Amino acid sequence: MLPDIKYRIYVPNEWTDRAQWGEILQKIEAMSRHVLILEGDRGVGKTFMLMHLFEHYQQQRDSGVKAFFIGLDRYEAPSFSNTGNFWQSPDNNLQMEDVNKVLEKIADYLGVPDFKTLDDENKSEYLAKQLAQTQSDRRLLILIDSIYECADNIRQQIEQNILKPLLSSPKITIVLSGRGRRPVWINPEFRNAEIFQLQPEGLTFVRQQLEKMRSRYISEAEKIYDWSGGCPLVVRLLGKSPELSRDAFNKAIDVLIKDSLPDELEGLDYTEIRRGIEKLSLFKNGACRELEIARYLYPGISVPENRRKTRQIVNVLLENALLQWDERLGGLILNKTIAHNLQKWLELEDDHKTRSTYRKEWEQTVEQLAKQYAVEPRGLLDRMSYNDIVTNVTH
Amino acid sequence: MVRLASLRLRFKPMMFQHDWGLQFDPFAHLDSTRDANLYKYLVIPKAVEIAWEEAPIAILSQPGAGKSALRLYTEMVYGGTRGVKLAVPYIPDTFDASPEFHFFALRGALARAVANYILSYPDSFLQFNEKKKREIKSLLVYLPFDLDFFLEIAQSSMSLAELETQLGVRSISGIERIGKAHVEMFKILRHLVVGQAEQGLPELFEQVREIFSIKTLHILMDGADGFIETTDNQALVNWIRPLIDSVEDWGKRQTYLKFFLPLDLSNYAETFTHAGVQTATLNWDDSLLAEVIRRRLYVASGGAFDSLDALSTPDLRNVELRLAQQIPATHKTPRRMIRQTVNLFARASQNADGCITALDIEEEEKIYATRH
Repeated sequence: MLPDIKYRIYVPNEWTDRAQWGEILQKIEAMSRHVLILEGDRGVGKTFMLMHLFEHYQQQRDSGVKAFFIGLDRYEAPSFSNTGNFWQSPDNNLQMEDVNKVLEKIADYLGVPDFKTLDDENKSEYLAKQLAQTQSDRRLLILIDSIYECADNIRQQIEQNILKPLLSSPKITIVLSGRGRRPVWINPEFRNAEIFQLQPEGLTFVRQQLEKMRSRYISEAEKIYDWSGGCPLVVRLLGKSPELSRDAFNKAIDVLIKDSLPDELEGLDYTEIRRGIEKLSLFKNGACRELEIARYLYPGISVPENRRKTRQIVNVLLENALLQWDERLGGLILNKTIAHNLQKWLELEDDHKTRSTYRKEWEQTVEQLAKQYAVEPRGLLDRMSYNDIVTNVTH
Repeated sequence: MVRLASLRLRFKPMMFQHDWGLQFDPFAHLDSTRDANLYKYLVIPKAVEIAWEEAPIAILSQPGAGKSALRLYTEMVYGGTRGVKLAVPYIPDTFDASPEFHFFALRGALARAVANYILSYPDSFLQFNEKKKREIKSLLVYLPFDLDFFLEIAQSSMSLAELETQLGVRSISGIERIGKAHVEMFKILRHLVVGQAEQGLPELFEQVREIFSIKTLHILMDGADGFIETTDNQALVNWIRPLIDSVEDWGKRQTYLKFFLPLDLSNYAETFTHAGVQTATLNWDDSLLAEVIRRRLYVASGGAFDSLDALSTPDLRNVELRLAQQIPATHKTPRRMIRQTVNLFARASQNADGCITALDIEEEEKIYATRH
């Protein structure tokens, strides 16, 4: 790990202009009573972007927009810590019992009158009702970070008790951010939300980010860009690391992965997960199904056993948005940022031994599958676009 | 050839959990109105999204195409506004051609919606002044059952779910238990002495909106499918004509009629459009039917996958689309699609590795071809 580098923190001075900033701002300005969702991979800068949006509207309070920020994952934002329209904990992710507190804070900020109830347990229900009936003459902007990643019951509570009542207001824009599998929304406003993909940045951005950070690797911007693929979090980690080496890169990748995983990994250890992710990272443009992953990750183990182990690892990766089902490709794909970083890291190995081993195991998997299901190996490989490996398979 | 009935008998929902990575059986309910997860995976074709517009609407479809599911979803959408927009479900239980029938029956539907509102927010009732409380009780007198009897049942109930079932509506708040406020409200309602509200229906709509600060009322009329077999289309249109004729006046009072009607009435579309009612047909093509399966798989797998491909041998792609294509044009409904999928699962569950194979799909196709 990189214990000394604080990376879950919003530092306004380190904000570097994003290529898509203007477009996002334009969308928000043009919207009325709509929902915009910023999707992007781990480390692509969704939280930073949302916080900067909040800061932008805070500074322009005279424009008639009332903004409220809710961060669901722990993150530090010292510059907003005493702000009445900001909810985020530096230490803990938002819990179920916090949802009503958030509701109370929003109601308080919007000046929603208190409602006396005979049953205390129902207070939040009336608050939600009051919120729905409040017709603010000013435009509301609600920003919620990491909504995809939180537990389903928390998200549903937020949707039904906070967001849906707020949508009764004639002038409201809701901007959400999330990564990984899209949640199951109940209301049409969220099902039909406009989705905006936040992309990694280019070399110019990386150089500027390193400058803003006062990193000692500004002259190495190209290398950092190549390794990180323009992922702002990896740039931040590498830009602040004590040395710019394969080992430091490895630690940055571990941060990306471990930070996404729960503390307790039931029945699995991190090494096993990391190895699985490394293997999956070699699928450059393709996707694979659980059946195929099982053979590839656990060669030589009996089918029921490898399916069981695979189900375990796949579930952990899915639940934590490191893996997701790709509708277009008809299979599971690894988080693109992590895949890119791992590909680069594997390429840095002097003798390419690890890649060769994985390659061989994949070839064997394809041969087995092709034989068992009487399909052309080429067809399987083409579907998976496993570019590095295709050439070695005989037909 | 294996008979479908015997396949279904061998099909065990528990197999979903163990073999296919699904947290529950998303195909257990052919009748979607009984499905508690409906709101999570209901597929709504774009054309019928007008259902929740602030306007009079008629949605037309054949039985099994999801009309009632859409009506229930629309009810839920309005419920989420916490009474800013109030749904008034109206499902006539009989065919009565007398001109006043709907207007009387709608008073009952409105009374149910009012009862639902105050059960959802009893403290709001308690904070109303005496006049409003009396007005509410005089509306409740229109409930299709004795109010005192209902209050007695309500008093002894522990959960609101029982009362929702009795009323045939869905709560508009998240309050689940009968609390102190409910008990106090029941007491007040029992002791208030009032007569039946005597205003005309449009005035009653306005009164309800005014009491509860409701922005718009949405009357959701469903259930006419039940009469289509015994009543000719013209008679059915004549039956609902008093409602069609009221659309304009009620619209001015922010009260909108939403009809969920059999497809047979599509020949009368002009009657609706002439009265200012927008119409839309709930149609299903192959890709939408495939989406019905995808969405159910996505929800039941916790987002792990959204295609039968994930449960199939590596050579198969677009399995759900192939299933949809097997269904003849006249039978393309979600209900039929779900049945088709259940059959496929039953067949695949007998394969050694639990994967759906090309042979399973071909066999399904053959069975279908011989039956149609």
